[in-house]
Amino acid sequence: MHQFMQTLIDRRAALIQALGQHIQISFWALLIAILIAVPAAIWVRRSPKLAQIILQFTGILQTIPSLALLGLLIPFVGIGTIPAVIALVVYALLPIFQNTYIGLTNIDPSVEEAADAMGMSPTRKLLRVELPMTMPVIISGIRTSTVLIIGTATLAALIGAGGLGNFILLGIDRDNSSLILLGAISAAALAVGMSYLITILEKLKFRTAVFIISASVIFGGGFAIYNVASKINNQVIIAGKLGAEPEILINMYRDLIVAKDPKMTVKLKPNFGKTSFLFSALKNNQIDIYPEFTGTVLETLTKSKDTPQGSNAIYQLAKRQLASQDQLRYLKPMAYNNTYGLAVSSQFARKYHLKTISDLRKVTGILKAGMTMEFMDRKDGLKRVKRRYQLKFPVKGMEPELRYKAIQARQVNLIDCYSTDSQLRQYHLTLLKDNLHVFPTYQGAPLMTEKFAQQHPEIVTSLNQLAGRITAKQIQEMNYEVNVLNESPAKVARHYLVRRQLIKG
Amino acid sequence: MDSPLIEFDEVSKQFDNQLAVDHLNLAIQPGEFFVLVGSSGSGKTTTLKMINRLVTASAGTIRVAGRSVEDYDLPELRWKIGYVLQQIALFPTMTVAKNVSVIPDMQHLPNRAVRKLVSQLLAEVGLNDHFANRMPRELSGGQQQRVGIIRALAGKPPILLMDEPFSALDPLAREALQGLILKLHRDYQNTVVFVTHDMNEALKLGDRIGIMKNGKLLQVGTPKEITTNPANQFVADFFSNNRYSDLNKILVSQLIETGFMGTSKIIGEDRSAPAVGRSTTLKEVLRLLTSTPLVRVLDARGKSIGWFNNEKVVQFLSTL
Repeated sequence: MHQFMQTLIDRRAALIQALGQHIQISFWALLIAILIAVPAAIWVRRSPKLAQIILQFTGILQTIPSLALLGLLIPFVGIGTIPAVIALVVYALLPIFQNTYIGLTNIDPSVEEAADAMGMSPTRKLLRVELPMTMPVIISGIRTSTVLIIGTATLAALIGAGGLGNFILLGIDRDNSSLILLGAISAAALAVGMSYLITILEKLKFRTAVFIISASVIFGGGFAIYNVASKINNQVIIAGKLGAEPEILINMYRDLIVAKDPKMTVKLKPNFGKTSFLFSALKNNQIDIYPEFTGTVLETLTKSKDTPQGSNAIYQLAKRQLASQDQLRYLKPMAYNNTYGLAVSSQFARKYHLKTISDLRKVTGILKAGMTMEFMDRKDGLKRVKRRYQLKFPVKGMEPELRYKAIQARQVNLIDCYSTDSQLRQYHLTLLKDNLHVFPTYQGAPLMTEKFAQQHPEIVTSLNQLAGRITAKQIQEMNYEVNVLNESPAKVARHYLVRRQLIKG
Repeated sequence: MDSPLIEFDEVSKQFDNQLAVDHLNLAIQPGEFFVLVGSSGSGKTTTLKMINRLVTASAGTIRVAGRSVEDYDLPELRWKIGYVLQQIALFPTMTVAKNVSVIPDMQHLPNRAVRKLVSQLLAEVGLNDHFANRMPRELSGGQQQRVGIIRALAGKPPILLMDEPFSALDPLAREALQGLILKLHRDYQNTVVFVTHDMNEALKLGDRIGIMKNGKLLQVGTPKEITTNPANQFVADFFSNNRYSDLNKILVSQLIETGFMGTSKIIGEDRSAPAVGRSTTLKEVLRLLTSTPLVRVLDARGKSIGWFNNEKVVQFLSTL
């Protein structure tokens, strides 16, 4: 509880900003959903067949997993707020459409007849009689959608739209339950608050409610235009995957760029969800630079068939393929190799004299492994390890952070990890040597479009200062400072650069 | 004689597989109170709704003030014709005043004039100004229908159509509103077309009565002409059924429809009182009531829906 309050106090500025983003995304999604669903329901109300088709269609849309939808949208609309809003609109359509349709089709026919007999035009009848009568049902649909949107909007953080999901993602990644709670409680409170606000809106007169909604649209619209306009100026956007290490790296990139050209504005977008999100964002010019690993390039991005031996050969192949396939420039990599590894507890290692992965064959009978889905699925991951080392053991799929908890609680005794993970130090684990060189080399280097590299040669020069620098030990230490000691990535990055005299203190 | 205000010329209405109105010819004079009477399914409501084009005729011509209704702009036609429904159908989200001013608002009458008009109309149907800001659901059925009537009269229409306006009301409210509508008819000198299934109501209100059956107009005449000289056996029966109490021809269903069945909860030993159905004759009910204080009424599924006692039946008989 004390820790939670401390987190709340430390991060109140970030929380307010995230809350603002969350409200903004939710508000636009809700508004657009209303503007689509209500007219659509009005349009089809005389045609039950068409209405059934739309009901089923919106129902199907709602069953698409949100993460899949976000991924599908990136090639078309990029990253950030827009795909998040679109995805949320898709989910919000059904309750609003359904309620509006049901409300309109259940109006007492004698009231309709009375309106007709008074000589009302269809439009006047709709505005004066039908919509006011349907309003309570429509509002309750809007309320359902609002709660749905606010909950789902936490996923917007995965594609760089920010919001309260940032807290939850960071909390999961850093194993910090206070952050998770902060994000989750804020999102829940926001949902309850909005639902209450809508209840108040419902009790107002029809015209007052319309006035208030229009006013907030104009206000919100102005704000959004201001936001868009403020993004147009010439700034460099650097993004990074979820986690402390990418965030430290992009902070270094920023410091190096700004040290060379103080007039340059650099915007950081840390904690993106997935490799594929970032890669499409880069190709669609939504971001300018992000750090990528050589091994990931060959494995995931260029789908290279052969994997050469030796770190330099791997880098050269990745560089060539990115240049020819996607017109991207891949700068020189840093020193450390952040590859996969298998780890056991130091105590377990001592007891069975385990030093290399081959040594595991001595204990196959008692091995229980907890591993990430990604590691289990990759062809250079678990599959190759089992084949090359001729190992057999049961494996449970786990979220990255859960693995460490599980091995600490002795529910498993073998996990996969990254060789630079700070948790290896935190949980007293021993990394087993990859004596048969099964895991590919994963060296980090900045990735950008060829066009961007040609336009900004000074940025290329700045970033190349990191080539061949940063050892595995150094990055592990920096990760530890961020993840465990709760230092800010910006501070840790700056500290490193100053100490190595890459920038002035 | 004046030229007719409303004129049906060989008018038919075909619904999907039913001829609702069959070659109807009828002329209604200005200032007349004309009642269309018939049992359900006789085509009387369809005939009424064709006048303001809520229903479009399949064949023939309907003329209002000498012009075919098809030649009117819809709002122009409907603002000339007030309309009162059995279901009353006040707009539930509007206050009484807003309901009454629906048509004046569409005609762009100034606000002050509308307020004055609403207040004057409320007074004419015996409702004071406090009702103006009430919502329809706060009113009794009788009060609601008073509002329904002045909503129809607010545009000062020369024609008023009334579709069984009082049949959902209790007998007291019905009696009062029948008197009221006659007074308003005299004051406004408008032409009323009134649909009912209740012969007594027709005889009480109509200057002339048209009797319909199976989409055909059987006879048109003053109440006196019809009672003394029915055109055929059906008219005679329909009429005598209501007028003279042949207790073997009056069924429980008629007492239910006219509102003489008690509906409060039956308690104590009355729960085992003798039971009758909708098609039991009034004679049988009277016979039972000589030996028991109460008779229960059951629906087709044997569920109790109400009761009769001596008082209810005597009240009913007094209306015949």
